[in-house]
Amino acid sequence: MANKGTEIQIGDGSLHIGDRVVYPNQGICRITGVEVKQIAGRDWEVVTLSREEDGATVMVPRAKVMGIGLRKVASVAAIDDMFDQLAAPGDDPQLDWKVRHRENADRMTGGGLQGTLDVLKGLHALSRVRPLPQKERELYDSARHLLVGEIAAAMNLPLHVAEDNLDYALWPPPGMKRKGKPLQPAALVPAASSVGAARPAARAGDDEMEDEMDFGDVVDVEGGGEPKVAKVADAEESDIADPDETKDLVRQRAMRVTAEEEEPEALDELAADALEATHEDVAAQPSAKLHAPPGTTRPQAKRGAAPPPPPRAAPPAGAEPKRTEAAPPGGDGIARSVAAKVLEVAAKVLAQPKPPRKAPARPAPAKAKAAPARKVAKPAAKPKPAAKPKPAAKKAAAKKPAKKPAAKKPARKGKR
Amino acid sequence: MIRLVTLGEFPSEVLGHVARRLHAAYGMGCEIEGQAELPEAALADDQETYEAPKLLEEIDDDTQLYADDKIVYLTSAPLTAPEGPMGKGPMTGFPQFGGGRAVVTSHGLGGKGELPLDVGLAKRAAHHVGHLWDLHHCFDPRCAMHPEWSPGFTQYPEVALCLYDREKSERKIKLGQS
Repeated sequence: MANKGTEIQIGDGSLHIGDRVVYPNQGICRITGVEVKQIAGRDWEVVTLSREEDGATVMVPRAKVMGIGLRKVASVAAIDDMFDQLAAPGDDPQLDWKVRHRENADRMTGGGLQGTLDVLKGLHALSRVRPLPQKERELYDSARHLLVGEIAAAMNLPLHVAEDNLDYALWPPPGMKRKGKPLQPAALVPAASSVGAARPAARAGDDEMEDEMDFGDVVDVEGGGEPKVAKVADAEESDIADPDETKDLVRQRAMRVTAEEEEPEALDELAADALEATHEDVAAQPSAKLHAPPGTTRPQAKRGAAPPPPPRAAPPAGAEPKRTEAAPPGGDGIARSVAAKVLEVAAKVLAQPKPPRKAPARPAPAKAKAAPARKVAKPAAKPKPAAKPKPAAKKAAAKKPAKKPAAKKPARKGKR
Repeated sequence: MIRLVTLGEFPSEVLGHVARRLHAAYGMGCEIEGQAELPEAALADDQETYEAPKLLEEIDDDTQLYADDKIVYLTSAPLTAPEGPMGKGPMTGFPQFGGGRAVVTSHGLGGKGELPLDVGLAKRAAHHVGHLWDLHHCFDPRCAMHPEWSPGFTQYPEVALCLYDREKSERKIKLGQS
């Protein structure tokens, strides 16, 4: 049941049977009639269209003709005006993809010729800045396909000529003019990512950019051009080097360590114990046989008297006392108690009112290493007054916590 | 299958190069069919150039086409096409958009600022064969579908399609009857 009369009005009354129309989803079509089709038990009045590309038949419910953006092919004057707009320099592309997507979708369906032109021009401008995503590349192709078909239909030109003319406006060849006005010849544009392009720099304000790159604190560059992280690190260093802060840290550590110890001992006694524990030739002799693995003592006895052991050098500066199987069982505990005592004494010294001498901001590393060596070598070389090791111990104690709590931010935050 | 027909003399190595590049770009067989004569009826008023749409209509060629076969005519003569709203522009070939035949000219190749004959002809042929597969111009300068007068076309002599155009042409080729 077909009605082929040309008097039938379709849509808002501007479309008639036989008209060439633009169907945004299909391309250029020709209205062939209005029919009533029975679909799912209902009678539907449909407008039948013939697609010009391949002659395929498209049916659209008559009530939805305007909703899908069906419109007549533009006039020659409108196409000419469109070329003026194409040849004119465009605005900056919309960089927010959400806004762009919404606007382009509206323009394609309901924007008519102007809407399609805006989509093409906007995406063309964007393509010169950065490669288009797949969906937008498809949209760009659809807009181009519609415009080429419409130009060819309106001006009765071959499709290829229509496309070439469209691109004479978008990529003007040298010497191209529009209404006597010379156009700027096309320049080389950056290659797209699909063939291996570099990422363009101009992506400010794009949401994807923020997702791809985690700036965090690392590239938060402030006015002076110095990364924030570097400044924070510098600030941490200067905080730690602050003498008051160092005193606090030493005091806290000393309090923590002494709380574990029950019987505080004199520093000199502890130092002597530590020396014994370190010099195994004397302190570890009696227990060597007890802890030696089976079979190591007997051959020695067979061979006769063992040569006297060579004199051992003092352990390297700052090195931990050597722990061997021959060490006395209490050696480890003594070393710990020595360290605790050193810290305690250092805290006491620091707590006392001092002369106005200012502590050095950052002790020299050479001194820090030399201090333990002197402490260990002292009793062996020459007995010194008991008050003498205190400054060395104090220095060692003052330096030791200064390195370790560097990573402990809570300690710093609790600064009083 | 893409079939090459020459409308004039071309070195065999140039034809071989064009055939290889077309085969690589579209993944289709490409063979050299032979030679035909330029139709005198397609001569323009200036008697020097040929009207490309008319040339495709008037050409006397007995090459057999099967289903979706494409024929590319290669000539060294200058071509013209109907003038559009932007006036006359450079003309390197003329395809029947979405159809089966295209004519490509080597006119201007090998000159100053232009690609060599074999490379330029292969790229132009690939461009117009793309139009036969309904491909539109591409903004990517490295793609063979980039406008042929644009600087990118000569800047990147490789005959390659961008990802989008390659997929689109592959879809069309797969849906083809042959």
